[in-house]
Amino acid sequence: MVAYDFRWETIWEHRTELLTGLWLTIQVAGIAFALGCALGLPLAAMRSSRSPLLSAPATIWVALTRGVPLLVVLYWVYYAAANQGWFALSEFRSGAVALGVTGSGYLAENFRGAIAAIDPGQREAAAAVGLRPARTFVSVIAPQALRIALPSSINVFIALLKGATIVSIIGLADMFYVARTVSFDTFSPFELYTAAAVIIIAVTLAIAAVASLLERRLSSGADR
Amino acid sequence: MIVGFDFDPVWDQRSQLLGGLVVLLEITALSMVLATIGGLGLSRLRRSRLRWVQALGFVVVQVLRGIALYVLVLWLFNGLVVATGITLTAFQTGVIALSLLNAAYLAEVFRAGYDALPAGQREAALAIGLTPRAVGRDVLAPQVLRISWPAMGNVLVDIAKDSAIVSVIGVSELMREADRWAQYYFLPFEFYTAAGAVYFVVVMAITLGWRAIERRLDVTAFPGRGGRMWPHAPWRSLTRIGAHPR
Repeated sequence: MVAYDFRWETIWEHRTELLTGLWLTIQVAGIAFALGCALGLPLAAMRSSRSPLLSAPATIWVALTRGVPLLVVLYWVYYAAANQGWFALSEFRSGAVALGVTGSGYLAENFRGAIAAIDPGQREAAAAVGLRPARTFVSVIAPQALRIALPSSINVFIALLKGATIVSIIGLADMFYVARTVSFDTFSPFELYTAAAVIIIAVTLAIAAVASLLERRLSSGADR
Repeated sequence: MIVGFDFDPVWDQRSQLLGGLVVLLEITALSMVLATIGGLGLSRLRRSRLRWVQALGFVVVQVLRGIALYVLVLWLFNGLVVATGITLTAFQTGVIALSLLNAAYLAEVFRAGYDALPAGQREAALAIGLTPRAVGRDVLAPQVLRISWPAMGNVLVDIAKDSAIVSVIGVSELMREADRWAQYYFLPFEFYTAAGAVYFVVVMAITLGWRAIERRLDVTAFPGRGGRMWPHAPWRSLTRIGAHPR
């Protein structure tokens, strides 16, 4: 076998494409997280409802989104839906929708758990001082629930960011797509994939560090 | 143009898809066993008395938790294999990647399990004259297993779902087979929906089976009261499937 010729300078030569690709991945994950929250909040409310008409569909949605792999959802959104003639989304949007749908099941359970974790005395006290239920939720329950749900929701975001790397499979020009296409010309896959891996690890670890800092901050507040 | 459904080719290719399911289960089972061994090793590093061994364990766990499976698979299969000439099959690469990443998750699970044990357990076991080895094996480990069991189930479910990613390097597991036939018949909706349904059934089966064993492990519940084999409302478990979006 011919010895592999290490050419680390290819990373520097293609730094702009790689970082542009990283930004795409972060955008996909960010939009997916927003979508996941937008779906997750009403799902959490529906799951907390006593009426099975509301809670059953939400439970089925949560179970399905948590039980089907992200890759299947991605292929389904990108290839299957377009082929059926329902909707045709770009690679970027397909990635965001697939990740958002998958994330919604996890975020819904985070939110529901956070709301359930709040002492019923809070609600009773708010009612006793004459707050209406909607006002109680916005001013009393939600701020405390947010504090509980934040660290675990950041963990969902990190998982979505890691999941967003697979969108290059359907052809989004992210770091891994760049690494693949550039290494066809330069034949330096090891260097490029290593660079891409190190960059994504650095980003996820940085966010995880912020999450654990926040968690410590918020839980120390709760102890007072 | 809206088109109809044609699930007949899915049925025609059922033996191919079931073959893919078998490979999926093989990858999942093998990776879970290796990840458990790796996770025990890593959590042992983090409980070491030597500072630098602790630090090493910490760094390895953090890096592995920071990397995405798809990235690790690509790096191993298209990077490392090409650069060093190590020969790894796609199947081996997939199992190695899944085992490494989930070993890091399990290391954290086991560490939390050890932390949850009261110090009195170790002290009492040593006080009645058990050797440190026996304390670890007969007193601490069984309790850690019981505490860690639910979280281990989540990791197992995550492995099963994540194994779909291994299809990108050409392992003929379920997703790869579904993809192949979706392209052959040009019926992506039918084949991907079928694949999704099979994954869902696998994940449900793992979740419910794992929970049934969990009830058996719960020595505090005695038969006839809390110790029944199946929970009252099994569907309640389904919203707790997995730990991370995969």
